[in-house]
Amino acid sequence: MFGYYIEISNTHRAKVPADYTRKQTLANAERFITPELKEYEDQILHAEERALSLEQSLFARLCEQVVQQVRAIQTVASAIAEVDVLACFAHVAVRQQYVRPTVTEEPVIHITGGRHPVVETLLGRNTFIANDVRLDRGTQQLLLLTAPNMSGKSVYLRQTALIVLFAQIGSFVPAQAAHIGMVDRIFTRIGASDNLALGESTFAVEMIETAQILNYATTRSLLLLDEIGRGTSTSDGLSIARAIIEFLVDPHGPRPRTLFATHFHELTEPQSLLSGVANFTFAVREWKNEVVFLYQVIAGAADQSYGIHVAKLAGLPRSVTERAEDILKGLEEKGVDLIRPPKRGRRGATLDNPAQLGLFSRAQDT
Amino acid sequence: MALTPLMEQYLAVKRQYADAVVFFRLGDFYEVFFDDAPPVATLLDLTLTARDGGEGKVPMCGVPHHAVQGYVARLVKAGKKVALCEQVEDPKTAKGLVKREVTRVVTPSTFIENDADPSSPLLVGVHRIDQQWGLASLEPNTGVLQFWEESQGTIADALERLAPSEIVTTKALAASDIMQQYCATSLTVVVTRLDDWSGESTESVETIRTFFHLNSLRALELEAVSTAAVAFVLKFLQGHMQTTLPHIGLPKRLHLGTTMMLGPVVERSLELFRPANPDYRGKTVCDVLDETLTPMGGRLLRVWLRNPLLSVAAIHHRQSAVEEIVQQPMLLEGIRTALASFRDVERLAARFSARVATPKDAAALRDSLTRVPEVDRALASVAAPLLVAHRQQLAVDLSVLQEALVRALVEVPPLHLRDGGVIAPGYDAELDRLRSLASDAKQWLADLQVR
Repeated sequence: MFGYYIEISNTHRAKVPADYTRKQTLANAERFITPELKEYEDQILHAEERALSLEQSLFARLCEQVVQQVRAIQTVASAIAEVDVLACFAHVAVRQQYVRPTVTEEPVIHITGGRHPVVETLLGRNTFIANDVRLDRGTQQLLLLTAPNMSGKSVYLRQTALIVLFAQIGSFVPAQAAHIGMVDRIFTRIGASDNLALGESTFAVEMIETAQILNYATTRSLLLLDEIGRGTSTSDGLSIARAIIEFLVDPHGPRPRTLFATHFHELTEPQSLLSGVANFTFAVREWKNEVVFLYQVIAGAADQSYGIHVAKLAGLPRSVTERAEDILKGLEEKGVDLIRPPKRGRRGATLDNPAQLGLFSRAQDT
Repeated sequence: MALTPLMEQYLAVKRQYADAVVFFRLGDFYEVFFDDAPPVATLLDLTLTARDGGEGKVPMCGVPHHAVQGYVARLVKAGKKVALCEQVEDPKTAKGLVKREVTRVVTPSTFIENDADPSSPLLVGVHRIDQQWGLASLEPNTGVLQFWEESQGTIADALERLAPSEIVTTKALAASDIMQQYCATSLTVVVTRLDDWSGESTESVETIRTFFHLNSLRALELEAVSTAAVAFVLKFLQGHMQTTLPHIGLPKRLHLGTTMMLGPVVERSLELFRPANPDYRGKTVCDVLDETLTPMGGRLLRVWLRNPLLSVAAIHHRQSAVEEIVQQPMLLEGIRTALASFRDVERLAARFSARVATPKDAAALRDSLTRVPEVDRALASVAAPLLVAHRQQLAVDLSVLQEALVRALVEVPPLHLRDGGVIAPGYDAELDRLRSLASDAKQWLADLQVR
């Protein structure tokens, strides 16, 4: 039976008071209840239940009170969120020694001692080599960076974009000083050059992405183009890269600020021929027949690709790299001139007959 | 041979929620039957068994009810909807089959109870009229509802940039090339298909009017196609949440061109949120920049990173706030100390709004509201306009609510309401009386035994 009862063994039966009511008989005992006991039984069983039920409705009422104030709570929450982010920017700026960039509407990007925010934490501040960037829409509209891979050129491209991005979200930037002219859109065509397996896109995809960039870039855009033309033959790639450069500095076009990195050092030529293009490369020292990358950006063009040196560093067999050096010498001695300078005053393609131009033939004379 | 009544009941529910996995409460377990069972068993590593269904064996697998949240989270993450079908009457007093009803449909964007993942799964409504597309996006934590239009040429890019976790649109549109293409690139997106007539304009207008208790939609400046998109989102919420949701803000137009468009290509090539090589756990830009202390700060940082500003004045505002903090180490420390134990107040508000808040949530809200004056004090002497504005926002008076929460709740309430121990003594006289009655009676009994 349910409830509380008093159990009295048969030996004590005689002592049972009169007001005990017998409820159940067992073998050796009897069970009694009293009015008092019954009353308390009711109270216990039901008080707990009722307390629980009351708690639930009190909690529901409390929740309703919260719901009434939802808007006010959201206002507070959103203010907290913003203060959190602003303080976060300050915290990172202090810890990583960022500076406040000057942000204006001028069409320039001037960075002194710029650093890549992620790479500098991996290498340590003293190991990471900082670099300057000077981009405008005048003589330094398109920075043509010729340098081999592993020289630091991809990091340079990315850090420029990231410094602009940080500036435009209101954060401080990893640099000694920065003047950022507002960018309306950042376009990148950077292969994941460190990962051939996953990041290598087909040439077709590369062209689709490049087409989108060229179609949508405006005068206030920032373009970061790395290794355009890599996915196809050398002469095709070279031609396309060259034509794109000319398009980007065309005085009748948008002339967006551009960082154009390439391994085609044939694309460089004396500055006066293509206005707006400035040549840069990454400093490299040759030491005991080995190539040492200094990760420093310097003006001027790379005079060679250092491709063979990179191949050596990668561990290609010596017989292969030595033979490559011989072939290269031969090519250079033949004086192959893959690109003709554009005729003055003419827009469009510079090569009359791209289909006929091969790697080992001479360019046609004008 | 006929199906057992239980299976009939199950199938009736399943017919109504055909696009969701139905978790059918049976005793201490939630069971999954028929075609739902094998894929769920695989996804959740459960044993696939069978049960007599009257017409033969029915495949089934199940999870214990106290651990259901974790399993639901995994299914939702895999892009599934989960309909929780509960026993709505006490099995002890039920006559015959226990009544069951779906009380909740959990989807990526409505799973606000999920503690484990503080991110923002976007819910997007999509509609098209002729060559124009309408989009409505809802961020479920903050309740921010925005709408805008795209053209045939820009819609694919817009979807890619938005990267919604959930889309609600018509059956016809879900089958269109654009939508099929997006779904092919995003395998875990959940698509809810409404009947084709749902985009009809008087229907849409009515849905929005009743949801927000408005007389007219004129002030919102919606177009026909974005009206439908907003209505889809609201219909979805009504169908899945089954309560009104006061934390959802009025739909506001998103003005394109106020922030820079980045897009997935740029995000990837700059390694903003994901390293280029997923096998190599490299650091991302967000990893380096994210030193936020609150979950809502973390979400906001990601929003700011994806939406760089295009106004010099707005940038200067943020910069001068950051500069003020940089130049005053005490200010920085004061703010960060004050923020350190703030809970996800945004999400808590959403849970209360959706009527899924637990006693622990109430305590978390109580504790966070109690910290607000500390933040206000930390900002006491700021001068930067942006910080001054935030300080004013914090001055919103929630003292009555805060006091109620403090008085009503015990220090550390349990997770569930069902076992009591939530309301503090001294808050309600009747409760105190009942409790002392129960404990006194027990004491009296103990005394009695001595007698």
